Amino acid sequence: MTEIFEYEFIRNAIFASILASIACGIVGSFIVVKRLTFISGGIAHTAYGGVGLGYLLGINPLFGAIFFSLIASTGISVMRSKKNQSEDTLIGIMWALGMALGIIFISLSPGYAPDLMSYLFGNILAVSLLEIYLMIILNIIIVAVVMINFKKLQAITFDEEYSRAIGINVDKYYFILYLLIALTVVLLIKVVGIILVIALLSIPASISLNFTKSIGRMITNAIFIGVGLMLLGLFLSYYLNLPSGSVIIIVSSIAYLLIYFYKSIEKRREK
Amino acid sequence: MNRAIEINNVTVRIDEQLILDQINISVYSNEFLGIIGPNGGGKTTLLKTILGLIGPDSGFVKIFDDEPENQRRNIGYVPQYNSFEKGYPITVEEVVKMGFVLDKHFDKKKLTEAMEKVDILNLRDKLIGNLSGGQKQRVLIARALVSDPKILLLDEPTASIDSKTGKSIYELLNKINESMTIILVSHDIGAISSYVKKIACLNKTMIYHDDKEITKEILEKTYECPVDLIAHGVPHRVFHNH
Repeated sequence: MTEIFEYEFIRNAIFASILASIACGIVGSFIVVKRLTFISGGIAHTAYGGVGLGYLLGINPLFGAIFFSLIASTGISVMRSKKNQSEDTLIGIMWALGMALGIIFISLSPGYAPDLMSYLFGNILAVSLLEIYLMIILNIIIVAVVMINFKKLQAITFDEEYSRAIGINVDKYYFILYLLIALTVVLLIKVVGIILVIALLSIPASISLNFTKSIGRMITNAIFIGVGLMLLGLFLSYYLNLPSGSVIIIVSSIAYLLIYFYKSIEKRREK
Repeated sequence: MNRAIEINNVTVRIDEQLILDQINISVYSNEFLGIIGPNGGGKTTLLKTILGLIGPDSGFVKIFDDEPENQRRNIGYVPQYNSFEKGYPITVEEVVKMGFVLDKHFDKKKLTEAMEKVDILNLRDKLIGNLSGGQKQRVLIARALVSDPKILLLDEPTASIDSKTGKSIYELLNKINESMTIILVSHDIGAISSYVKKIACLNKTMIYHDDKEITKEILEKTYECPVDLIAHGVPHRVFHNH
C-alpha cells in the first residue's frame, strides 16, 4: 500500500487533488447556490480553444486556457450586465465555438498532440511540478479574492435585487465571480479535464449543501469532501488501472446519488 | 412638516417605452403612503427611481432635499420575499446582518433590536428557506431596519401571503410607521386600504389624493377596466359609500 507514495507522480497527484479541491470547494459553492453550472460549462469548454492555441504557439496549453477562459467570463459578464435576452444561446455558441477553435488550432499545429486527451478527460498522474506551482498561485488568488469580497459575494448571490438597491455594484462582483470560475476551470483541467470539470465544481458543493447552515461552512465542508472523493478516485484508478479523471467523476457521482437517496428517505420519514 | 421625498415631474422611459409619465408627489415625514396599480403600471420602476437606481429622463427626485444616491443610507428597502435564493445556506440572523454589508463593522445591539421589533428573535438560528412566507417577509423587514433608515420602501409585502398573515404584517408596519416614513406598492387594493394613511394610484400616470378616499372612477381610470370596490368596515372607511 505505502509503496505508491514513493512515486513522484503520485505525490504530485495528491497535491493536485488537494489544490483542486480547495478551489472547487470555494467557487463550486457559489456555483451551486446560484445555479451557475451551465455558465461554468460554457467557460470550461471555451477554454479548449486556448488549449489548442497553446499547442499551435508551442506554449503550455494551460496558459492558453487561462487566456480563453478569462475572455469567456468577461463576455458572459457583459451579457449579464446588459440583461441580454439571448444569453443562454450565446453561451451555448461560445461553448461550441471554443471547442471548434481548439480542434482547428490543433490540426494546424505541426506534429502529433499525444496528451490531448488529458486536457479533455484529465490525467492527474501527469501533473508536472510547474503545473503544481501554477495551481498554488491560482489557489492563492482565489482564496484572497473570496476572503476580501466574501460579504458582498454572499449578498449578491443570495439577494441580487436587494444588493442592487442598497448600492452594491452587483455587475462588478458577478464579474469577479466569473473570473474566479475561469481560474478554477483552468486549475481543474489537468485533474479531470474540460469535459468533466462541471462535475467537480458541482458535486462536492452539492453534497456539502445538505449539511450546512452557512456558505462559509458549505465551502470548508466541500473542500474536505472534494479531497476525499478525489483521493478515493485516484487510488481506485491506480489499482484498477483505469483513467483517473473518469474514475474520480464516477466515485463522486455515486457519492452524490447515495447522499441524495439517503436525504429523500430521511425526509419521507420526517413526514 | 419635513419633506422626505419629492418627486417632481418625473418621466421614465425604458427601451423607448414610456413607463412613468410626469409623476408628481411629495411624501412627508412619518407618512404611510400606499401606491396601488396594475402589474406593469410602473410601481417597481417608481421605487427604483426613488432609490436612485434609475435616473429619470426628465424631472427629478429629491430625498431630504438631496440626490437619491447620497441618501441610500436613509432608505431601507424591502424586496418581495421571493426575491432571494430559497435554497441558500444562510440563517435568519445572517440575513438580517446583511443590512450591514456596506459597513465595516456590524452593530450587535441594533441587530438584536431589529429582530426583536419584527418578532423573529426566536427564529434567529433557523435556515431562511425553512420559514413561512410571513416569517420571511419579517426577516427582510428586519434587514432593512438594522441601518436605522428614515424611510422604508416595500415592494408587494403581502404578495402570495395569506390574508391573516398579511394583516399581521400591516400591523407591524403601522407600529414601525410611528418612527419612520413608509411607502409601499401593491396591486392588492383590499388589503392596503385599511392600513395606509394615503393612497396613490399609479398606471404610467399618477392620481393622488391628499385624503385617503378613492373613488370608483379613479380606480377604473388607473386599472383601465371596471373595478369593484369592497369597502372594509375596519378600522376606518376608505371608499365612498356605494
